[in-house]
Amino acid sequence: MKFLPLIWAGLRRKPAHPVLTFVSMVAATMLAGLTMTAGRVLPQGPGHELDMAVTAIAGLGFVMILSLTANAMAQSVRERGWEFALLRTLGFSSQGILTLLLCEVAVPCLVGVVTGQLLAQLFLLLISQLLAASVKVMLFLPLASVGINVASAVLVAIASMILPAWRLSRLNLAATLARGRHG
Amino acid sequence: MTGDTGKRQLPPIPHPDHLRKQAKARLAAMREKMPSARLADAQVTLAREYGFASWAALQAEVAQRVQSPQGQWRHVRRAHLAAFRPGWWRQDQPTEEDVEAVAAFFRAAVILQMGFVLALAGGLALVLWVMQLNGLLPAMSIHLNL
Repeated sequence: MKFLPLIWAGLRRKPAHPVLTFVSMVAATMLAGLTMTAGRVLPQGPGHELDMAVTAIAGLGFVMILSLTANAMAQSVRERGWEFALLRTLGFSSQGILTLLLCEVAVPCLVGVVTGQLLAQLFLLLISQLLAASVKVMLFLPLASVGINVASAVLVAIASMILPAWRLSRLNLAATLARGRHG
Repeated sequence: MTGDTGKRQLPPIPHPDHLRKQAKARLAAMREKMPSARLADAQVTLAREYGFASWAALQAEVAQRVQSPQGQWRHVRRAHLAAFRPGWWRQDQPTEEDVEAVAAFFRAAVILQMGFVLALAGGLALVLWVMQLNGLLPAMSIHLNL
């Protein structure tokens, strides 16, 4: 609980980073949802080519968000070295700061997943209204799919922390503080 | 003066630091012949070579080109691998230009992704609509299983 104000301050300090993570996550979830819908609606050939294409596109979306989020986190740590050095000096442990950073990336990831899923459902609902009676959309949210989405959000958050964690472990407190807030 | 009549041509997206370095180099060269030369003299000489009346006019043109869509694009293009550039972890504090380049890249990434998702949703809706018009869409129910 003591991290909550710090997480909020971190999110507001560099809003571009969480916004990018959030939008990437929404885009990837919608990409997966819409391609899977297309996979069910469009006519299939004898094999399962479309299924493979759908999985490939969903995987591509995952790699896309991972690279963007990892880049955002790496930049965040690079630009905020002074802040982390100050927190370390105030008595925060390395693990504490890593937890803080993990929460900072996990919050937009999870909110993005939920928003993406809701937007995909809303889109399908609109489509079913527009296409009259031929397509019926059932709002159906199996636990497994929610689990996969949440797990992918957490995985993205953890994977994007590898570079920043290594960077933080090598932070020279005295030199960083001596340089001051703006280098 | 527009910059077209000078002996030298400005690059499409000139870098302000590069021009400043050129002015300092020119000052050093001028001081060998005339020890009382000042930086302002070197700057005016350089600006006139590029076809501008003054250093301020040259800087204004450079700032305008950097702010142009082409200049912003160069920023974005340079930034996309900023975190993975060799040795980035050795710099404790990125330069102001680096921070701006990263921000420009983030803005572009957000806009591109939103456009991509909208295009995908619109394309799927269009395909379904055309299929329905042609009677290709069977009655079905979709379970949204992401």
